[in-house]
Amino acid sequence: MDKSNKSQLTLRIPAQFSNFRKDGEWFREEFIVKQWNKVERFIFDFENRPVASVSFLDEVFAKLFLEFKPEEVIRKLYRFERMVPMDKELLKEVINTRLLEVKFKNKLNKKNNKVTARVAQR
Amino acid sequence: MNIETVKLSGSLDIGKIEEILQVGMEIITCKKELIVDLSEVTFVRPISLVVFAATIYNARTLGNKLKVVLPNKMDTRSYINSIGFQSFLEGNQKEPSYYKSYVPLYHLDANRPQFVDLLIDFIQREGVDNKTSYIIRLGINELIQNVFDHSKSQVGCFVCSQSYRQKKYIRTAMVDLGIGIPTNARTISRFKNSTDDRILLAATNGEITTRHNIPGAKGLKMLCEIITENQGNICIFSHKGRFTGEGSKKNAKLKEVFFQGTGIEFKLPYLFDDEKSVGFGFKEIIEGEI
Repeated sequence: MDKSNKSQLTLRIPAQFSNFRKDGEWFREEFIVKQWNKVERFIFDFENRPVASVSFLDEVFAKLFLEFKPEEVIRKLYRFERMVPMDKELLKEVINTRLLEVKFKNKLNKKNNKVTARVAQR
Repeated sequence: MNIETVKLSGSLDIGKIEEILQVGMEIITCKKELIVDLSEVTFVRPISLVVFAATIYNARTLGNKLKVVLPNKMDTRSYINSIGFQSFLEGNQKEPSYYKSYVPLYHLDANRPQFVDLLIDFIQREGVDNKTSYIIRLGINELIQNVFDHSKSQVGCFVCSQSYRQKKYIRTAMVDLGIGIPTNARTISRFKNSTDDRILLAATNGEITTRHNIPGAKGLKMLCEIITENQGNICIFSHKGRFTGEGSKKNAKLKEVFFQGTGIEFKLPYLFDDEKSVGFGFKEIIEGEI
């Protein structure tokens, strides 16, 4: 992990990392979520090492959409450096699936809120 | 003493998968002493070795006694030895060698996931380009993640890979002895009454994920797509289902023999050109409006 300044943090995905869901969960909690309020921009350096794991990318990056506002996640996850092209494709699939889930949940919540409001009015 | 013998002969390739799986299931379920006689086997493919390795490992953990008679044919015996099957029978793990054209039989479990990296490093050193080895890594990661997440396998998973340098392709086989893809799929209501072959077809289309709307079925789908689009072929078997994909042809059918876990074998030519990586921002890969 390299700290450039207070508001920007560069995180290197370690070469010896195994790419399973539990590893991704640990990485997200330890290096991203804990720093979320202190850091304005996260930069991830993959050093051209392939991740090749849907589970890992989902845990580290896509699950942030469930925790924080999408606009905030997009703004803060600033750059992905030296990520192999096929990982970029995987990441694209994974985050867009999560975004669909967020949109679906938001729609459902709005619907439920309307129903609750109507019941309360009666 | 009550000793049973199961015998296989000839060439143990994918065409004989039913016989191989039958023997595998006998190894797991046999309560007596069992002799697995491979003395008349003349040729083995990685898939047969991973099935035997997984089932033998499982039988040993259950305390079953068994003996394996290795092939008489020298070439076959030598291949079995070099690919690490004999070491496995003796309880050892053969390490990959820089100069060899195969990845020895590996036992991967939750405590030893780092072997995936070892395996892929070996494949890359073999001269396989980045994209091919990436797909292999993706497939193995996906399968192992499934073993950890769903299969409830105590055994973990066995992997073995052979590189055919002259013909320029790689063949990889993986087996786990978990609860199998159909059992997992049937926890989803729309697959409750589906047959094993239909379930495998759906799994390779990325339709099955037991975690609601959570990415997870993408790996198998991508693996199948990339292999079949690039002159490779793939065979997946789980319970009584058997899926094969080659080119635009996808075929799933029911086989006679039930196999408790899941097995995958794929052949992939080294055909790809490597792409260079470039930096990008999150905004570039988001589809539609937020």
